[in-house]
Amino acid sequence: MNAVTLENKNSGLAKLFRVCQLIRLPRANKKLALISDCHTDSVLKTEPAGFAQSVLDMTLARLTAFIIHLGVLIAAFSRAYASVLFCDSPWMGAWFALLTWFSPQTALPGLLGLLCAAGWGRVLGLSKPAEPHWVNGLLTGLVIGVIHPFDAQLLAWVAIASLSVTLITHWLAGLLWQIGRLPVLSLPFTLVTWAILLTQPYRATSLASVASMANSHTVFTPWLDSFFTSLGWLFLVPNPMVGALLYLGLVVASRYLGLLALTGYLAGLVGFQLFNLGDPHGNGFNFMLTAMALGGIFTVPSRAGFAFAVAGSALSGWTAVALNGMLYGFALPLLTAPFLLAVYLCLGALSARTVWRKPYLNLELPAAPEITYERARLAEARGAPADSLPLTLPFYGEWQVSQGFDGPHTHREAWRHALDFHIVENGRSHSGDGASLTDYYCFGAPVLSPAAGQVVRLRSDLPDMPPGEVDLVNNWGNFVLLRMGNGLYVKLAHLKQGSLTVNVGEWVNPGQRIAACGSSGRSPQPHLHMHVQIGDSLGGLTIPFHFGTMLIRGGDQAARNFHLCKRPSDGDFVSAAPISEPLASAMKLSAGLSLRYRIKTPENGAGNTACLNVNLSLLGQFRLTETQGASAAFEKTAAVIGFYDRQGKTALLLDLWLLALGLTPLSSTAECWEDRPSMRLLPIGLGRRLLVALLHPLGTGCDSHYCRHWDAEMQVWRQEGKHRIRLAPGIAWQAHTLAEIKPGVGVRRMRMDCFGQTWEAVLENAGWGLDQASGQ
Amino acid sequence: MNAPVKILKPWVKPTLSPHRVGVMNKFGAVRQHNHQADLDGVAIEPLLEQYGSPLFILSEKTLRDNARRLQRAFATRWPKVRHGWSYKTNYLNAVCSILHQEGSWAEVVSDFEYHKARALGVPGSRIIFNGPWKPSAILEQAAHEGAQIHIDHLDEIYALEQVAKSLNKKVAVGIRLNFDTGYTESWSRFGFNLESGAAMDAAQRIASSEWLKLTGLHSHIGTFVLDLRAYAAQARIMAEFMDKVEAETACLIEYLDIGGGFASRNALQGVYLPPDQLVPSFDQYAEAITGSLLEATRTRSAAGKTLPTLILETGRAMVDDAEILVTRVVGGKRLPDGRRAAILDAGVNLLFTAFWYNHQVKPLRPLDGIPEETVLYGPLCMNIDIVRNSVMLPPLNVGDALMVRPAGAYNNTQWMQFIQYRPAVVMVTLEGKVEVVRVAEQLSAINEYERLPESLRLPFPQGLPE
Repeated sequence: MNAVTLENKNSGLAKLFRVCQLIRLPRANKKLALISDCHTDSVLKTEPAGFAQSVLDMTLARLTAFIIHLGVLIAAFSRAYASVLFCDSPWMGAWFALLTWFSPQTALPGLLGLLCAAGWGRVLGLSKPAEPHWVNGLLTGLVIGVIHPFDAQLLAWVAIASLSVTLITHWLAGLLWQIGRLPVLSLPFTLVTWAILLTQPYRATSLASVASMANSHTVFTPWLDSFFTSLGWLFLVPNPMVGALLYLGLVVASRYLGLLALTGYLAGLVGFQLFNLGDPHGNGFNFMLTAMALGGIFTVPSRAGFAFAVAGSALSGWTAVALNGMLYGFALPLLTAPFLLAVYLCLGALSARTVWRKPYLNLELPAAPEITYERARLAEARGAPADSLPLTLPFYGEWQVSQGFDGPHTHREAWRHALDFHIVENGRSHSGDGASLTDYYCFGAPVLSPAAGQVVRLRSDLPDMPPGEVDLVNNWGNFVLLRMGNGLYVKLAHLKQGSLTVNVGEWVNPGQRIAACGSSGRSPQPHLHMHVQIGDSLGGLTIPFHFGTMLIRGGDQAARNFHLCKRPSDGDFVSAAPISEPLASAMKLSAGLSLRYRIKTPENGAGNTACLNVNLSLLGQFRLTETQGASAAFEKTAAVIGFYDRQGKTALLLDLWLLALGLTPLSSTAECWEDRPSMRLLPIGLGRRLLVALLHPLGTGCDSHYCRHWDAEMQVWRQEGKHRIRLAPGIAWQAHTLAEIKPGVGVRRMRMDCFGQTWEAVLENAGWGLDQASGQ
Repeated sequence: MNAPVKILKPWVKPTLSPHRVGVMNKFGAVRQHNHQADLDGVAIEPLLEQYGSPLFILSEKTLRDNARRLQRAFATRWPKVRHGWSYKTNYLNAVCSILHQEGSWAEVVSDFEYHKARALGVPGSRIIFNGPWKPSAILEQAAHEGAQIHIDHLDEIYALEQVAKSLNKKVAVGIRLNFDTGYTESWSRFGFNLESGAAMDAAQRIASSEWLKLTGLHSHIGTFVLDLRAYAAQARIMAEFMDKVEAETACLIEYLDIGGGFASRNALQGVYLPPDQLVPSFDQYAEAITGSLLEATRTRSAAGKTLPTLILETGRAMVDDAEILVTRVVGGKRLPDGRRAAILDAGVNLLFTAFWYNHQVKPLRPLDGIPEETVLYGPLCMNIDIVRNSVMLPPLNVGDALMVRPAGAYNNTQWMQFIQYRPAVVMVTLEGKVEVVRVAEQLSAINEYERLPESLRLPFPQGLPE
């Protein structure tokens, strides 16, 4: 099929086919493939193509292009409906849109509001799909449908309201971001609707008439009815049945959001009824939205985030009472005001924090809680605490931590965040009897700058104390204090007398040799002291730090564990991970690279082929993409290549790659390391998938342990991964992966064994398709 | 009648001792002539009984300690350091394997050494292949197995190019350089000369080849180099050439191989100072080399290039003091010039390095008598077979055992099967056990390679005359 298409490069259909591939609408694609197949057959038979044929080509092409364009547009409109409940799927949006038609009186103006807002955005040059003014236009349209009969005046109101919404949204979005990185949410809708109601005060009462839909008869239990009705109110369909169907959609989209909605509603109800014993009527959805926004969308899901969301919902309950009293005089409904106020209050306050503590805010990149959780989980597995400063090791070779953070000797109180290093071999830090300074292995070894910075203070004239003796007057001995770009200071102390090679005011680079390890000051034996402090006073308050890309060997083991970010503990042997050029070049994934693998699956023994392509995204992000469109971002530094942000549908080859090579150090001395790739990468069946979804609603990662060794016979690095998926205490699944990395070739073979079955991918060809990848 | 003679002290062989000061001089104590009965806690005398005399004894502990000391000295001063074990220094399998276990690659200079390394299980990609002559068969194998080949001359570039072409593989190579450091004699017979421009010509030639890729530079400034400034100059000159060759041929130099040449704790003949005062430590060598390299590569990381791997081919400083030769006195005589002489069962056939070193000689047990200038002769009926021309030793008796040290470098590779059998080599392991690492030679082993024509089978075809 592909070959034939390529042969007919000039045929309109073939062009279109390529366009479709770019747009990636699977359904349309398949249809086209069928047409194209039939067509190319005929072309092959009656070559060269006649005039009539090319006219047919053109017509078909235009028609299909139009259909596709329409499809994209409908999907975008559909997403606006989904956004009301913080969902993203167009299918979910279509489901919500369908449910609004339970009350055509509101559904039609709602749709009109959405279309008008999109239109205004387009006219004013503000429009981008899924802009918040679409959602606000939709909500405003829904409310206008309640307060106005369907006539020409309504159309005018919808047009004016959607214009105001479009303008206010774009103005407020920028303003709120500047204030405290706050999202605009449905604030424009509330403001514009109030404005309309204030213009037509007599209309406000008609909002209550919608409530008649709710209170007709009990569907489930009174309490459940009340919950579902509240949810229905959001789309102006306060019917328990519709509410239940909406909730069903929400749960299908995200179990976690469903849970938050329910818990938030309860918490809000408590907050509300503490002061006002009545039913919240049409305001209950505020509590749900508050919980969903605070616990699922704008914070990283966690226990703390959940508690925060519940507290926020309770707060919104109280806010509803207070606002109700305030707006009573104006005869204005609350709309989404309690939700907005509670969310702005909570997020605004938390975004002003200076410490990094749970719940972590996620204002820059809000996404579905499952996605955010996945990102955060991977970041946590790979990274150090976010309030810790990353530095490079201040020495060459392997040193041992002689005293870690909160150490027993001197790393206390204000100086608790400090590390001491020395060199130990065969359990001893010195040769001979250790009576002389030069017996000590670390004495005189070079000390490197751990960061880029400027030398602000130093001392180099103090003598090195003989072993066992200390200088308690000049505790720090000879030292260098560097001011880093972030305003913090890093200090290296107990340096060798006269060994400093830098001067005050000099700028140094990380890794630059600046002194030698000594034993000056309070140093019973030669060692290097290092800490990060606030301010340039000697012995200022220390703050935590850690190191990037290093190897750690525990005191009693021989294997060197690679760590992307880690703070070594007492007794750890640490060394920088030297880069292996052959390994780095074998793992080089340049933009435009296309790797074709032959895949053997348990179902398909002979195997079919699939390609992995390296693309450069608009934002400059490198992504590894499988043919069908599933992709994962990756970042390559000098020392490591790491993959993250897996998007798209199941793609066997990509998932195999991510499991086997998700985090790959480029140092051949890195023997073992850990990672937590997503469990979703495993090719497991529907039954098992459902079981995991039930046990881990937010998704979970594998406890993956990687080992790599050089196979001299085959001349490849064999990178083996053991993946454990913990389902419940005592119950776990196991999977094994293997990747063979060959110098000068790349990843030659990948294999996975899971549930007694084997998947395998063998590299067939590595080529270049730069023209496609650079997005021209 | 005759009163019994009362013996007050044991009889001592009479000596003639001239009046001279031989104990102290203005540079401190003379070299110790006290005895040593064991190696790493293992008594030597029983080993002689068991394995015969002479006997080479290796110390696994000293060898491993040396390897770690060298590694530590450089690894704490440079990000990427690699040691290539110079096979020619001592290619006993046990020695090579210990060093490979300590992380050293194999540095070989011939097909024999290449085969030896491969037979020990060293993959081709961990072999550094030096030398002025690499026969085409082994060159092909090395290129195929991914060895690190250092080209010595222009004809070798052509030969390797043909090999690469026939393998259909782009081969990464290094070139050997020679230049004047200002402190050592330039070994201009090896590699391409830098000053004359031959080195840059070679690099250009490699850059223009579609089969070769220049990734490394190699040089070796000499042997037993005591002047640290020579190494500092070597490192600087190589780093400067690296920048120049990268700029001119757009290659990327991944490693600088500075060869070997570190002095061992042995006393060169004609050098007055004792080695303890003269020979720099690994730390001092490392400080000089990396200090100079850091200075010369200061702008390299700012230019986005990684620092090259530093490769060392330290041989004698690694193994020399890890092996001793123990020999027995087989006879003594007084020379016409009045000096005393002793004949040993080991001579320059086993101790080739005696031609240029004054080895330290120690008896295994305390010897009675006054030290006297002594000549130590080997067992060969050759005039040149002298182990020590002049050494202060007490009188020696037949059967007395002497320890000659350091004897680890070059003796087990340059020894000769000449007149005598070569003796056993044993090793004291880390656990204090003794392992034979080379059995004593026997006639059958030597005759195995000989073929006697049928007509020569009978030595006396006419029969033995009465």
